[in-house]
Amino acid sequence: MKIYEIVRFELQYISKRPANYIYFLILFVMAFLFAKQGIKGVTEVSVQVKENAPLIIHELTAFLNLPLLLITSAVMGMAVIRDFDYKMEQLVFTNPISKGQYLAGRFIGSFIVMVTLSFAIPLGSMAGELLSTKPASELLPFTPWNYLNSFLLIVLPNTFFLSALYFAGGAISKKAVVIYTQGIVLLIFISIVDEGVIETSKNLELATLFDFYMVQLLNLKTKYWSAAEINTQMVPISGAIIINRLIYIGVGVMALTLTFWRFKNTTKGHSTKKSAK
Amino acid sequence: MKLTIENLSKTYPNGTKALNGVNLNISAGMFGLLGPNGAGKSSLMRTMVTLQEADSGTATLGEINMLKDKDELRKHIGYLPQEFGLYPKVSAEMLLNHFAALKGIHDKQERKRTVNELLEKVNLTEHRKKNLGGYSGGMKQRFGIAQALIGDPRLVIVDEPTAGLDPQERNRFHNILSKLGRETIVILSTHIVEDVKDLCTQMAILNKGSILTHGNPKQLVKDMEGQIWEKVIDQEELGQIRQSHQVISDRFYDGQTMVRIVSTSNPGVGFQPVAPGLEDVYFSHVNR
Ligand SMILES: Nc1ncnc2c1ncn2[C@@H]1O[C@H](COP(=O)(O)OP(=O)(O)OP(=O)(O)O)[C@@H](O)[C@H]1O
Ligand SMILES: [Mg+2]
Repeated sequence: MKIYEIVRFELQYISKRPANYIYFLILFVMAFLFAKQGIKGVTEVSVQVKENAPLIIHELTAFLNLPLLLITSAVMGMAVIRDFDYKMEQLVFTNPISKGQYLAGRFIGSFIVMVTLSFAIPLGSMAGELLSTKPASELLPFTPWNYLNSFLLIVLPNTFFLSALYFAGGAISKKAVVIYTQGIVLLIFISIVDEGVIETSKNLELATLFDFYMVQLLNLKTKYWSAAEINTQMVPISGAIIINRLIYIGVGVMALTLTFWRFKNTTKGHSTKKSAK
Repeated sequence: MKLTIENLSKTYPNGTKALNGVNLNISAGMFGLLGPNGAGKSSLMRTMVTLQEADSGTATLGEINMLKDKDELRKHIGYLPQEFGLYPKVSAEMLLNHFAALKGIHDKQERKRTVNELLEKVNLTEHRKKNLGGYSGGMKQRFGIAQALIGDPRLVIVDEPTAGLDPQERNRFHNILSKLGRETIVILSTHIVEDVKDLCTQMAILNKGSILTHGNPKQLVKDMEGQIWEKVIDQEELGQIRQSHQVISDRFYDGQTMVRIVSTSNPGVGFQPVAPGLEDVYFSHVNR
């Protein structure tokens, strides 16, 4: 009941912030434009592969993780920091809610917002395909499930991972600057794993277990597929793909556990010297 | 219901000893906490409302261990911090409604009624739909008072509640406090000594983290009867008097200086005995 109220208020609060609508729009427009133009050209597939084959949709979706990474830091990082920035924490923490209820409510509320925002990716891509500039011969019949599949496989677990990490960073440090730094560090880290470790790895099989964007992993899985297979078949969700996703979800869960363990619902106190009164 | 504090100490990470073995016994009614800036009043209050950890000592409210059973304690307290902010893009009604739900008023209608009553009480009904970011300092303070009173808490702790309130709103607030239930403990800190005398049945003076004296304000004043003296002097004489007597205050008076001292015996020629006030009790302890 208490958690429900915190979630409800969180959603009400965030819905009043114009920035969140702008985030949605940014994601939607980016997805739309990429899908409309088609991204097949930058991938390594044969010319017979259609623009909206499941694998190409995966790649498109993976690419849109980049803006998502930055948006998540803004939304999730502030979920707890907000109270300290606005000096509200003393009023909030003296309510009869436990630390767990507070953290759970704030995380769930902001995460619901993030999932909603990340939905702009499949929605924007689908709209882009429907208004595609490509001739009909380049396209397979419109299949919404393919977009949803990529969303569930790539976007949702990644959003959870990023949400948990930024939430943890914000709640434990209580400082906005940590969130921004964390955003950059995470971006660099993921790029290094992606371009440095995976691309140069001798044991690709193992390295792609850590592929955040899943592009290399999916390419590996479909390496010996014919164009016809790529056009008609979904990448089966098995072994390495499951392990990859579990790694990211697992790290997310660990970050949340650490948050619960380290977070203190106390105040640092406000020095009266700085008082404006 | 009784609030008992024993040997409470708190040192901040930077080494400031804010509380130094505080002992207090507080029963239902209004309790005034006086003390100079930096005395430790806010530190004591924050420790009592679960916002800060104490280093040592105990505090109990009835059966509740205030330092350990935090979740339980929070069901019974209302707190107005000395300094706080509010989400700017949220209305008073919306935030108060949220706090009421967190305080356990689950029924929607009942919550609405509570919120409206409180807004009426602190005279914010007119501004209830306005965003809190547009509130004046005094309005913000009144919102703080309203949220501290949600759900009839058994312990109300207000840290300089009337700071920034205009005289009319200050009176209104005093009326609210005096109407609180008989079972409620109200602890207020203030720099307005007169308010303590008018409102409180119990009080304590805190300085440098220690309780200097405590008791009933009227009784404390009574205990000083016959000990307060005044004399009109030249400015130059003040230094000399300071050496031989405990000076409570000195102020300009008709081109000369009026000095006020504490003395259990007659301090000599020119000194007139005067009736003590609570300020005399305050200064006689703090300036000692
Ligand atoms: N968060 C903090 N970190 C370090 N020192 C602090 C902190 N808060 C308060 N202090 C110090 O502890 C002492 C007591 O401060 P406190 O705010 O409790 O006094 P106060 O009686 O409320 O004063 P005022 O009348 O100015 O509000 C002061 O020396 C203050 O500088
Ligand atoms: Mg204070």
